Amino acid sequence: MTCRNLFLSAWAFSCLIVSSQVAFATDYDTAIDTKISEGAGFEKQWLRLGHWKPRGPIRRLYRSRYRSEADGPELFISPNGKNDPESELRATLKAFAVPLTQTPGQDESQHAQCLFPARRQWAFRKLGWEAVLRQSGAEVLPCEARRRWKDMLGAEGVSIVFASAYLGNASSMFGHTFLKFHSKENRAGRDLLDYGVNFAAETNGVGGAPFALYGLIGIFPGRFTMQPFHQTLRTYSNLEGRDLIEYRLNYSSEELDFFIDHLFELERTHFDYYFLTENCSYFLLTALEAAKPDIELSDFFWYEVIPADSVRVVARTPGLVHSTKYRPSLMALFRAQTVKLTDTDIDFAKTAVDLDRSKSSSVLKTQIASASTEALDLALDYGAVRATSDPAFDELNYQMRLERAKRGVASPIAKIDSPARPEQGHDPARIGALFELPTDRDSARGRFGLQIRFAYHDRLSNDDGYLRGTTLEVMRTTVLNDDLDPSKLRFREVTFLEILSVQPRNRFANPLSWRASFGFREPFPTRTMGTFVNGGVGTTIDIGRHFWLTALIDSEALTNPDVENRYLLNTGPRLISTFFISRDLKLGLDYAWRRALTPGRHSEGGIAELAWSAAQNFEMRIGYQDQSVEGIRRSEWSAKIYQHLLF
Amino acid sequence: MRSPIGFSLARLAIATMVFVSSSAFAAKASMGSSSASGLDAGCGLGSMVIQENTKVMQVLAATTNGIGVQTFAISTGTSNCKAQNLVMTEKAVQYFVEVNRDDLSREMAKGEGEKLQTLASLYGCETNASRAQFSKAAQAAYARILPTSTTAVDEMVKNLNQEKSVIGVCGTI
Repeated sequence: MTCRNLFLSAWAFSCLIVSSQVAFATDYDTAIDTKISEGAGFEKQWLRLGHWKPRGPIRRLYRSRYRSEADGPELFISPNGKNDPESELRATLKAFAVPLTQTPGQDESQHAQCLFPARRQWAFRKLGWEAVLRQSGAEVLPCEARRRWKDMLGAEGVSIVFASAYLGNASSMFGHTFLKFHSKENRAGRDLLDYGVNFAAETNGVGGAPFALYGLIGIFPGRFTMQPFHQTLRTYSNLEGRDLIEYRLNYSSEELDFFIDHLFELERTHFDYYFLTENCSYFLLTALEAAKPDIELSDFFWYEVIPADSVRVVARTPGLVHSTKYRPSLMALFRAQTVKLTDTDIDFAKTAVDLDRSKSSSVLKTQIASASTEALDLALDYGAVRATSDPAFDELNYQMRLERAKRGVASPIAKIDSPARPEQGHDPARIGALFELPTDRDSARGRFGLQIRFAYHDRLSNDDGYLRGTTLEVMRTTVLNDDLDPSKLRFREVTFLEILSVQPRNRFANPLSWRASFGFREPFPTRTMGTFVNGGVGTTIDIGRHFWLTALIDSEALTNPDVENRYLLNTGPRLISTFFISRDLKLGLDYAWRRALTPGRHSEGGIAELAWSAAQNFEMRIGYQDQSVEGIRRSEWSAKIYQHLLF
Repeated sequence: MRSPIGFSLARLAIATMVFVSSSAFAAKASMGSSSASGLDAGCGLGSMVIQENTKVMQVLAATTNGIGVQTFAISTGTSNCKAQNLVMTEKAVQYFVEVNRDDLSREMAKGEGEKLQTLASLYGCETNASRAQFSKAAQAAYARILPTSTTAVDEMVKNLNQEKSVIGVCGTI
């Protein structure tokens, strides 16, 4: 072969390579066009992978049909990806075929196939894309780093974990949810070493009012993060005293693998975090859905997502929950212990942990040696619950531990029964029919009305799955017909929020009880709606476990065109009591006396109400109410029927 | 050190030795980088599959800073957490004790508890009976594992690893 021939043949060969690449590239593009024209860009699971949701009917007229809820650019390859699932699919499939040599650093983990492993799985399975890639001469990358990572995680199952409500913190009042992967290695009682996945707002230390505001309007970025379950447990169970319920989900190993791949895609991006709607629960649901196209979880919610509701939806989806597991908080374990102990033991624990200044620590140290083992156990647990960081206590605590270590193993405390799970309690929304009958039939007639409440619980409803004796109501609206003109309906109240946070004082703690509410209502005896805001603080005692009495100092500010000076500030004592007659039957008594602080009239009022939860979601109440404002008095009987629902 | 095979006792022993011998170095490293390490240690404690070695050093540095501050940083600092952060097998004991130091101390004093059982499992105890035995042995050795109220995490792990009556229950010596 001559030099010239060699040159020519080399040229011809390279021509052949180039033209074949062009031909393959054209074929590849044609294959993409074909899939796009078949509607793959709007396939259900594809839409879930990009977290695209259809826009509302109005916006759709002048904006794109779809919009992704992901707010970081990392989830999209196409510049229009956020609003255009089709262009994103085209860009993704093109990126899959890019040679590794053109990837930064020739690092396969930076290649689209390894950056979007769930998309790749979907394309291989749904579009038969593996064959298309291979035919076009493109590589199917092993994504070695991902594979090793998944091996290490070793997940064989996933649970959604519900952390019960915690009224001590506004963002936790409705509970919290996160995920937990079950590893093969941790089957036999090592589940603390499993991994939890949390979706949470990155607040970077912002607190107080800006925290609430930013959370409502979506300023905080929300991200998926992962940490060992024992670490998550420390935060929720030890520090915040929240019980956990794990719902293990029925995910096949393929679905689980797909889900983990998808989490990896999401982990690089962020979602604007809205406390009420696009929150921890919502994004866990949308991520879970992406791996299981036959279930519908997130579309259920259109106005707000309460973590407890997301658990309800999961629990009600047929065949989705495999099993549940209750994990009491450190606080619950501690409380269970106190039940059968003697006063001497309790006094010792209290003195030791609260560092009673009247007893010097040397006196305490001599007491440690003579304290009972039960008293020491109680003191150690009480110290952990209190989590004080007083160096003086650390030393004393250490002395107690040293002494306890000499005593051997005690008999274990009784097992704590699992309380009712959220899905076993009533649903959070409520509609009601009311009838009011004034006792003075000469001046007023009976009134019929309706009430709608969006969420969540009031203290007289069955407490299963809720915090006992507390109230947390969102958007409660009452309409009654007018007693002067019965054909007319009138709004009587629109309460945006009402909270009653009570916890009886006990031998260890004296927690603050408080209430707050605001909205619009008709202050007696006017017949016009005006704004109001009220609240108070106080304390609660329990008498014989079936009767709770809360005493508060309560204040209220209201504006109304029909009161003197158009506004009124008043304050006074309020007593709230609840008789827990049985699980389904409760009697509530509420009395308040208010002294006007601005020019105006003093007032007082009381309500007695008997509530019977006849079924999980059905409730009947009868009540008697009496109000008076300096000489003007009105009292009436009432009957109510409530149906709870989830919407 | 980065292979994904499951927990192995030999690895643990090696890791423990590596850890103990590197503590002295780490203590020095901590002086220069305590604030940065606080963040990094917030989530994965650096024992990550994908992170570089420098992170591991930062973690070791953080471990020697004293438990009070560090535990708080761990429980609240999630800002640097990424979903790929896994605790490597070699660091499992260290990490676990770091997070749960106080609970472990309390459970050792009582000679029982879920976290102590998990620690036992990290030392190779696979049955409930052997974990209970490990827990009792740790109780008996309490004063040596935690000789003072301020014993730091790395000291605690070091002391534990010297207690043959405890870690020997399931053959990890």
